[in-house]
Amino acid sequence: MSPESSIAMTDEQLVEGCLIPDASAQKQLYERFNRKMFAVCLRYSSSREDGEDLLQEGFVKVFNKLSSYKGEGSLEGWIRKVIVNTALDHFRQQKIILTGIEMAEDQISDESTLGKMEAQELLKIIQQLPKGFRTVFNLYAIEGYNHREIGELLGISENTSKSQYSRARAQLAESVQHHYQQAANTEHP
Amino acid sequence: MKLEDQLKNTFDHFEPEVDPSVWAKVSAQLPSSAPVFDGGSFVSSNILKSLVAKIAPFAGWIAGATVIVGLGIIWKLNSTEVVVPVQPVINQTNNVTLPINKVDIKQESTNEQQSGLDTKTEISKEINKVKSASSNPSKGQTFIAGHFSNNSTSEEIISSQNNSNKASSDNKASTNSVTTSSALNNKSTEILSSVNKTEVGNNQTSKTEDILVEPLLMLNTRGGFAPLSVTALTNQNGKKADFNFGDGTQINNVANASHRFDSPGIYTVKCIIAGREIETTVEVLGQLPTVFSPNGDGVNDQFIIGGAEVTSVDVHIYDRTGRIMLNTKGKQVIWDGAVLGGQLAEIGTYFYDIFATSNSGVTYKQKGTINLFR
Repeated sequence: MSPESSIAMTDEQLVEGCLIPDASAQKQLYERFNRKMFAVCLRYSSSREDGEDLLQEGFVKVFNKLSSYKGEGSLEGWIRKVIVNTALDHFRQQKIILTGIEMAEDQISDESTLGKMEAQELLKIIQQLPKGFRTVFNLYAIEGYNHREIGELLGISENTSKSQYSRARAQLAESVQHHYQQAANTEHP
Repeated sequence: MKLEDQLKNTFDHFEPEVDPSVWAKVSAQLPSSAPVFDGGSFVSSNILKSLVAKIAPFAGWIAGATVIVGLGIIWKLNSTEVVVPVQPVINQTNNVTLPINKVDIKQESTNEQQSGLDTKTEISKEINKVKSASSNPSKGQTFIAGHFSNNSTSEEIISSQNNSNKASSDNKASTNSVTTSSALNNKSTEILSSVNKTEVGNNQTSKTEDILVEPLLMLNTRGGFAPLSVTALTNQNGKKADFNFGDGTQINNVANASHRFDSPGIYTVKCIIAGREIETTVEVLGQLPTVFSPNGDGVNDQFIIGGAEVTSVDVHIYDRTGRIMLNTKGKQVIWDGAVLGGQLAEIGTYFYDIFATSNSGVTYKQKGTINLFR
């Protein structure tokens, strides 16, 4: 946040410090990534408060598991993975049943505005999606997993992931068209 | 461009600010580290910076001294007891980013022997500080507690000795060590006495310098509706303090203290730690009920949030399943026990999140429950 809040350390130095554990390194590591990870948490949550809870839980895991980070790939990528996994743990615990119903192509609504929205606005309508849609949408569209991987992560079939995603997209597009109002009232089918 | 790529771009630089309370909760769950709250790292890093600046002229010495400490040569013979507190943190030397070059060990060590002892102890003290400032605070604090013992209560001396036998700057401990080591080398006695001299001479200033992190008084909340439970703690790693909640409640000699405010008002919460007084304020707004009974009998039929003491309240009420019951903003928000669609809510417990902006312009976030009876 503030430029004088820390002497700049590399990611590697921060990890080393956190493993001591050194409180100021822990704080710096958190400061470095908390906003980016909060953005991730908000996408998997239905409210700011849930997002904060998820961020808190996720970061505790990050610090506890830090010794297993072997420096392969970026630290940010590793932290993001831990945070996303925390969100998925919640999803699995809730035992949400996802079903796969193929959508006809012509059912897909106009998505032209969807890609051009501001993050804050898009977030609002993502948060209003049913949890299943939201999770699959995030994993596929933003995190970049493919449907087979999502199927494994969530314990669903590849086809279910596909149909969940296309329905999530359709619902998002519809929400945008209805000035972000409609999604809240649309029940999980 | 594919929709997915557009969406990724949308979130690429999205970095929303996080409520500081999240870090408070995270740090409270971390292993053996003092919670560093707002400003904590700022202060500690400033201490570090100022120390680095201060010792820059001795940089070469410190490099030499540090290496010697690590290897345990000559230095150990001369002044075992003085360096002992450093030993627990030797392995962390690499984490201190000092703008210094490594210097030839032998040359430096002879230099040290030729020069005055005062400078030497000065250096070792500075090393200790730098190390403790940049390494595990609990270890650093053990050391610092020793320094403190001159000015503080006997209980603290005992605890610092219990925590670590290595808190040798404690007067008693160092006297003991003199007896054991003086037979070997007279110099150690000299060093120790010069350490003591320096400490006595700098008593006024060293008292402030020896605090690892500037003491902060931390509260779980800065305000909200009564009854408001406030927990106060400091960032001094569980060190005992005296707390005063400003309404006649005084809780002494505890690491943290909790108190429930039942009446509205602005209270000054004070904490005395290590001879210093720190204070902050808590704003308690009007009373929130824990129960209401929307049955039309004219008694407690409504759950009323806000009113004269706030400029606005943003109220979210959920049922157990997380379904939203009420989502309203205003100077005063009233829930009559009806669901959004109009039908009556069931008897039971409901959860609220309230964002109340007081007349002083501060917004307080508060979570709680309300029981609905009919």
